[in-house]
Amino acid sequence: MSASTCTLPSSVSQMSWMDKINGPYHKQALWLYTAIVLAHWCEHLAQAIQIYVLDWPIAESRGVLGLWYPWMVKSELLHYAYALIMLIAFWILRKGFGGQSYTWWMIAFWIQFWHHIEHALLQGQAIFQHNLFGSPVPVSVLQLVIPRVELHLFYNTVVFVPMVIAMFYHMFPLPGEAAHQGCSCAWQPRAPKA
Amino acid sequence: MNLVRAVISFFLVALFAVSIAGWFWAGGQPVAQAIGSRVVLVLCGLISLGCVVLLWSARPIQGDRTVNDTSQQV
Repeated sequence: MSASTCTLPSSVSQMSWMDKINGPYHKQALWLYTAIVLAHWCEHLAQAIQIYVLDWPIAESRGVLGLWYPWMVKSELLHYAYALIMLIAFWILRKGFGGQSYTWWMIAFWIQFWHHIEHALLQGQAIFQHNLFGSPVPVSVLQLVIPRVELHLFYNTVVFVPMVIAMFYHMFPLPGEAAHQGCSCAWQPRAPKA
Repeated sequence: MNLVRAVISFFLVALFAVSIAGWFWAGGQPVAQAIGSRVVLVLCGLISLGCVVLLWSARPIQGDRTVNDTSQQV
């Protein structure tokens, strides 16, 4: 057998880290990732409730962690970290998806890519203490036409929904696609009792 | 499985409710900001509702035994 011959790993221990996380541990990785995404949603939904329902001033409405650690929001670090972690996770978990689910996962990835650029702009302004467009506070590009709170609710919606659809098709694969999944994420109905 | 769908749906319904609350709140803002806010809030509301419908329309493929993982049998 030549050294260039392609061989399949015979056990999980022989798999690379990427193969493991997109194969036998894909389900656990997606659980962890979903928990992170939902924690991020908690921040945005809490902030929206603080503004729309409790009528708090926008500057004082910092979501959940921002109430105890205001610097995390003022420094833009909290949401930049969420954006970066989500972008990286979208990329490293993509190989576990196939067919329709892969298409939706990559749609979510590219939208998150732009969302991350917007957060990187905000983070840069906070670090260098120099705001774009002569604004008194850090601003992103689309913030020129849409207020920040609503804009980021929208960004997270258009990232979250394709992500959920991707997971939906991953758990309920179309006929013929399930056989190509190397993980245990696909859902099966209860087997009839003998 | 239904637990996963319920948790995701909870967030989507919360987003829908927040979008409605935001619509009314935006009415008190300057016109230019109100328009921008309301356009994206309507989109958030519609997209979240559509996603809830899709999520609960899921049915496992009956008879598909391509995945042999007993841990999936719930």
